[in-house]
Amino acid sequence: MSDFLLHIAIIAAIYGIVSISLNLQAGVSGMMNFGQIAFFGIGGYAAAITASAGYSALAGVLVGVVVAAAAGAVIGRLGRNLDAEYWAIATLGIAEIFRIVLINEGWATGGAGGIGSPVQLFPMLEGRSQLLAVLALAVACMLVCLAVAGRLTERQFGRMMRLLREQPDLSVSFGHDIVACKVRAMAIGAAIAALGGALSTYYIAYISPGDLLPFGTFLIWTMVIIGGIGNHWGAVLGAFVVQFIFVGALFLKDVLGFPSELAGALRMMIVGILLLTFLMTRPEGAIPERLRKINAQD
Amino acid sequence: MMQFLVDSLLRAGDLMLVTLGLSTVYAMVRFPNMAQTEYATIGAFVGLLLSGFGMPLWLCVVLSALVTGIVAVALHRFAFARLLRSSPVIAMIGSLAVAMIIRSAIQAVAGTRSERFKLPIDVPHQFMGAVITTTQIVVLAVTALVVVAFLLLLFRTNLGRSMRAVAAQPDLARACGISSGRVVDIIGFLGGAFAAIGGTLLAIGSQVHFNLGQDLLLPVFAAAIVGGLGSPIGAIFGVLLLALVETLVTNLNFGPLVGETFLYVPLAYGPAAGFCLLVVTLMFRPRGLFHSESKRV
Repeated sequence: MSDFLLHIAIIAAIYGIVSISLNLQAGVSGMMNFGQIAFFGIGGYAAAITASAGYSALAGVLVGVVVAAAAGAVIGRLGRNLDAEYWAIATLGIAEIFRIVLINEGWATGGAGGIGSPVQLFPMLEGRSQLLAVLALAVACMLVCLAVAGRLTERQFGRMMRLLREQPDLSVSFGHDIVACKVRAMAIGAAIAALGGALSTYYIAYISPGDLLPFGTFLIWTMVIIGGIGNHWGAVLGAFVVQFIFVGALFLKDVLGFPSELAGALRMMIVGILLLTFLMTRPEGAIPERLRKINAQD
Repeated sequence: MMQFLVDSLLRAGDLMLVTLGLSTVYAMVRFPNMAQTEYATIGAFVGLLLSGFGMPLWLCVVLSALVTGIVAVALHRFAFARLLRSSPVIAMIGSLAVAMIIRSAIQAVAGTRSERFKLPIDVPHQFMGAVITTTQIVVLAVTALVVVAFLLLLFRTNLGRSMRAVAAQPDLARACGISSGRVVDIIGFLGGAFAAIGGTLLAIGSQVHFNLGQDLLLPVFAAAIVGGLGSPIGAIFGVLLLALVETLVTNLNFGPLVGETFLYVPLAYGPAAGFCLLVVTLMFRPRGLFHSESKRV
């Protein structure tokens, strides 16, 4: 397996983690979070800033996860009264505020140029074996996130979230504390996304505000939708499909003889068409959510 | 002081027509169409294309509004109307997909360079201490004219009454014999046309590139939501308020507050101020300032 394939697989696994995080909020809980890329960014910047200050990767990941979870909880609490579409735009706006702050507070974040991470995940390894180790770590993290998200979805928490998604009024009448549910879903999702962000920063050794554009969030949404909204395995599948398209577009550009500045347009076009096709013909995605039916007539 | 008002007005002029279109269309279709700001890019580039053929400027604006309006109606019928049968949320994500397709298509066709109309360089006027160019005055005047014409249509004609009826109570409106499909088409057309006029005016006043739609997305949605999605009057006030806040934050001297002579918020924080206005408004008015459940039409 070439180094390039290993690189693709590592990025896909990191996308998978982020995709699971959004699926927990949007798929299971029905919360239209359009600012997920900001939580990825919190994890990434926490990693880069702590690494620059001389702390280890473990400390960086912990800081990122805790800060993101706290930010997610606050946003979930602030947005408790909002309808889906208002909530979507509000989170999009918050993510953009975060990005503007990152660009302007250059003393801590390196400004628009971004910030590097001097800490490597496996400094004792070199070349191919380092890539393999990072891949193993990323896949392991993805599987852990998958297991955590799966367990949460199957337990009482998941049942409450699905009820909140389908019948919010009924959920309140059962005495569920829906604000607490939303806050928890946001905090857990944010923490998982931050883990993805931290891994990405340590692996690439760099993060910049250019990585946190709203398009990033739209991309995560595409992964969740085409994979199968509400299904965590689907979210992972979607992440791998989108990563495959991104790499495929690079080759397609060469085959078609496009100038390299059009590669971005080409892959955005493919992603857009794929997303629209799925929404119009198969809105439940490639691997639909499995809902248990109890005493159902049909 | 005068310069500050002029700057705010110019910023409001940039956003006004696109926001008005977005909010009015939302009242009909009940999902936020995130492709709406891409219609501004389409309009701007169609206008630029036509002016390349040597057409007079006013004709470019009219034709690009016409073309974009038709595109908007076609997209609604082909994509959004079908997606809406699933749910408004699906339609909203679908509009995102449409926005990505439009943006990448424009990037592929028009390239990544900024484009502008070839106009003679005009002399800035001094007006009560503020500087404004003739082009800017014309752009503001055209924007104001379109807004007033739309308000007259909405509040003084039978068609406008039907629109307000469909917006308030779609089922009841249909039961009263209003052809709601036709009204939705007309509003969809106007929404696309307004966005196109707004985009073309942006290209006339400054310059545009393929990312215009993405740059407009958040300010326009922030303004529409602050005013209350679905309320045309709210959209107008939302835009004015947003422009005022964005300009105010970067022009105020916060120095005296912290005991220093000068302390200005960096210019780049202007947009952030607008989004903060959005978040703060939603905390106190979850559906915007001008939202009301139902009213007499």
